[in-house]
Amino acid sequence: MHLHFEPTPAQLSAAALAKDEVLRYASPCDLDQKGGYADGFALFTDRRFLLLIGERIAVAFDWADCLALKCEVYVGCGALVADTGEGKRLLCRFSLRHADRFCEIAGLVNEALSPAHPPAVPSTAREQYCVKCGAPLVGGTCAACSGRRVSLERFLDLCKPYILPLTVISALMLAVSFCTLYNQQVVKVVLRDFLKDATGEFAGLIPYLLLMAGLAAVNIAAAALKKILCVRLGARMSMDLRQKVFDKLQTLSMSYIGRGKAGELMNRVTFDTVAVRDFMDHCFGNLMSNLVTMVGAVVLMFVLNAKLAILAVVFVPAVLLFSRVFNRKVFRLFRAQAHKNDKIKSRLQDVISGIRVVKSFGRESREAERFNEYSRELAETNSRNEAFWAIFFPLLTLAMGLGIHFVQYFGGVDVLNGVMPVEELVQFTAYASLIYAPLRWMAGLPRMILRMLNAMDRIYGVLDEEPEIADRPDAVRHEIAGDVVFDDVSFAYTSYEPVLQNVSFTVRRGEKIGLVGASGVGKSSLINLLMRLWDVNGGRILIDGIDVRDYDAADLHRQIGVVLQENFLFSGTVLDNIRYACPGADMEQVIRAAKTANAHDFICLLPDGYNTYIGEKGHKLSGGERQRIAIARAVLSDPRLLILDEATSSLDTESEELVQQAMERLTGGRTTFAIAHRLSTLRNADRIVVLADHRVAEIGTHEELMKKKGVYYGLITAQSKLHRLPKAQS
Amino acid sequence: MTPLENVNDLLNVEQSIGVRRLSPRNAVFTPSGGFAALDVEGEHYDRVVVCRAFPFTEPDRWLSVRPADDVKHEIGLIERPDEFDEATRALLDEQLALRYFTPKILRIRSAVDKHGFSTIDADTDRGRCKFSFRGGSDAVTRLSETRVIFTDLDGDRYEIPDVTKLTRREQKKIDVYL
Ligand SMILES: Nc1ncnc2c1ncn2[C@@H]1O[C@H](COP(=O)(O)OP(=O)(O)OP(=O)(O)O)[C@@H](O)[C@H]1O
Ligand SMILES: [Mg+2]
Repeated sequence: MHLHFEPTPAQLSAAALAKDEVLRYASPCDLDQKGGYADGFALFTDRRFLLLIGERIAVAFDWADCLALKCEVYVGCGALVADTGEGKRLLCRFSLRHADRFCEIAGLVNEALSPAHPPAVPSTAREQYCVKCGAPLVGGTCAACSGRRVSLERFLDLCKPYILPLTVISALMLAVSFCTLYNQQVVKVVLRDFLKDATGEFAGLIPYLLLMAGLAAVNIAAAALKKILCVRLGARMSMDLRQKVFDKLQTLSMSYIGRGKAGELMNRVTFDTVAVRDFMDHCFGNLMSNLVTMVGAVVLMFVLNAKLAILAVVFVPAVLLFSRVFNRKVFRLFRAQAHKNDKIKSRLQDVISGIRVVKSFGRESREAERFNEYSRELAETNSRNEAFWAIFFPLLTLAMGLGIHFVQYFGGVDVLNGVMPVEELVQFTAYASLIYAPLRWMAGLPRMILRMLNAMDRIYGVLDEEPEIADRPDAVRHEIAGDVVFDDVSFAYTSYEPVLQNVSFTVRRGEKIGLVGASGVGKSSLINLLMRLWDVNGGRILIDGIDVRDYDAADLHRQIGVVLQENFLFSGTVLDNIRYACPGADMEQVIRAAKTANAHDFICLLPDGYNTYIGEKGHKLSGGERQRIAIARAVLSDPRLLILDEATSSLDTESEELVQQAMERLTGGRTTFAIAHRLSTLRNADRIVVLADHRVAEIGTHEELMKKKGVYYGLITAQSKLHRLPKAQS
Repeated sequence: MTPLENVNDLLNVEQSIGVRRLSPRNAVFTPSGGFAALDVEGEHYDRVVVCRAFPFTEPDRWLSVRPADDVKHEIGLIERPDEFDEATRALLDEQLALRYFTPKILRIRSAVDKHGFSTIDADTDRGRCKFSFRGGSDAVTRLSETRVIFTDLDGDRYEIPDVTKLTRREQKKIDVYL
């Protein structure tokens, strides 16, 4: 975060700071008190707060009157509120663009105000816009300010490795153009020397006919070869790109992937790379042959007959314009259609995958009605588009033919007057018709190029992104023994909503730790940090005395077994899923792991046993069955650190007991973190860590905490009370 | 609040699902240092926050009032703020304006796609602004056929109350995102 914006000289003079007054932080502040955009600038000096609106001091506030400064974030905006001891005072308002900044400053100011405040937690939030020019940042750098190369250049870069096939394709394109143009020359000779006066010998005609046949053959062969090469090249380029994007996505941290929606990232991997392929297929492959054919035809026409040539090309701009307008309209129409199509598809998908809900609420008829409505809309759009197409496409063809009709009329007159030989007119007409088809194609060219460049832009948006969590160059690989230390750990997903504050505790190797706390208190976040899916904002986490940030991430993850709260099974067989982290495991290991998870019996009873295909997210299994497979997956690799986030929450008490006993044997000597709301799950834990209010509230054994009669005691009594309820009623 | 009280709360279903209405008959809002204080049925709150329960569909009704220092607990709901006198209504509006900031786009100056980001330069009812969002993302929410909300990179929001009220040229500029 940038906390030191440079005030302009005008702002400095307006602020009129005292001689020995030190400016600590400064930031733009874009809203006024009423919530309008304003050209505000906030200055934090060592003695006071100043808000300038334009060049006028709007708010001045001495730190002497301030007990604490708080950055409050609301919906789409935030405010800095000072606690004066007698009440609250609103100092300034800003949009979310500056919220992270003000929150960090507020922390720093508080730290300076009084030692009683906790030390400020530096924010890991990144600027989203360039602080100099306001353009959105790509991977942390500003494209405009850093002079990053533009997409077209990058596209050329991308083409470099494929220079050989590109050259071959270009040569073939030239060959096609040449054949097309030269063919007309031959036709002309045949007409003039043999057909017109019917004087020539048939024998003399044969070489010409052979030549024409040869040209046609070369033309077809070259065009076919060109097409094949283009398709292949496009496919290869897009495959390479797709691989690159996918590799990159895997290295990017959770926070990036969490920010962009999963669907959007999927689009980048699939659609955008396909757009590049399409460009190679449809556009690049025709680009040169169309261009050369057209230019060649125009030149030849001028050589033959300048007057007619002018007549022929005079309509070109009109046709170009007409085609562009036409293309744009068609594009819009068909996009509307695609949009409606998507809508139907996603509705259908929703209803089908949620069919149990639809049925159980008896909403079938309402859903059918809604679907009909969408369907009708689509049909209407469809028929409107087809009607447009049916009317305007012939018109376009007519307009394009107009030039040729003129040529034929004036040329015909010339021929009748004997000014022009008839074979020349035939040749001329042929050339004239050659320019119009490429022309129409060229009218759509800018959009095709734009589409490709946009796709490239998006692809490079991902490729340029710097991973926020990256291995250090000197990352260590280390066999974990299992001592874990949380040392004053603070963490927040966004800097204005702390999730964990100053969490400290030590875990000895082999210890089983139970994590308890209200929903949303940050238990899952704590283990996310331990696994280094996110990085801490303050403090550190040590495993065997080494900061998790110093570990080689892949090596660390290899040694941690996790059952996540939202346990996710991949489409595949039960076997694939259990072996996910450890594909080399043999069948005995798999069965052992499944037995530990108390899953072996139910798996064996499935018709296809371990080879049962479980579809997307394991829909065929019950919640508890899914959990047990996830447990088997976690324990298979014999991890040094085991993390169980609500791993047995969907199991009945008996199965849970069985799993626990099995794990007990297996986890002997392994450090285990177990999160559970059902506190009975944790009764085997060596120590319980109770989180409350983003902090560690209590730590100790079950007995110690019960004696203490604190938060944990409250939770236990609550649960036993609740569990007694049904009995009391019956 | 000790945990045990918490438990009792939990078990007191009546209290946790009951809807308490705030109206001029039981509630008095008073301004205090740019914020609002509330007295209701003998309880006093120095500062309350006012949230919209249905910010898009019922922005002017069903306001949820909560203590500023314990926002997880609701004090009560105001179904019809217009029952209150003018001064109180102004105070409530002021609190809402403080909490919610969603400029309404009046005019689109330009919309540019670059480097995978779309940037819109627009005039809003709060002044001119320029914001960006990732192309092809879920940054665009359609509340209805004509009502659109953009969420930019920082999470700031911008609303087009009625797309059809924009000129044809402006509509064309943003057509791609809708
Ligand atoms: N990816 C994320 N981005 C932003 N905020 C998040 C994210 N994940 C969780 N949070 C927020 O962080 C807080 C802590 O979440 P966490 O998942 O750690 O809670 P928990 O203690 O595991 O709760 P539960 O018992 O319900 O699983 C919550 O307020 C949650 O809304
Ligand atoms: Mg959780």
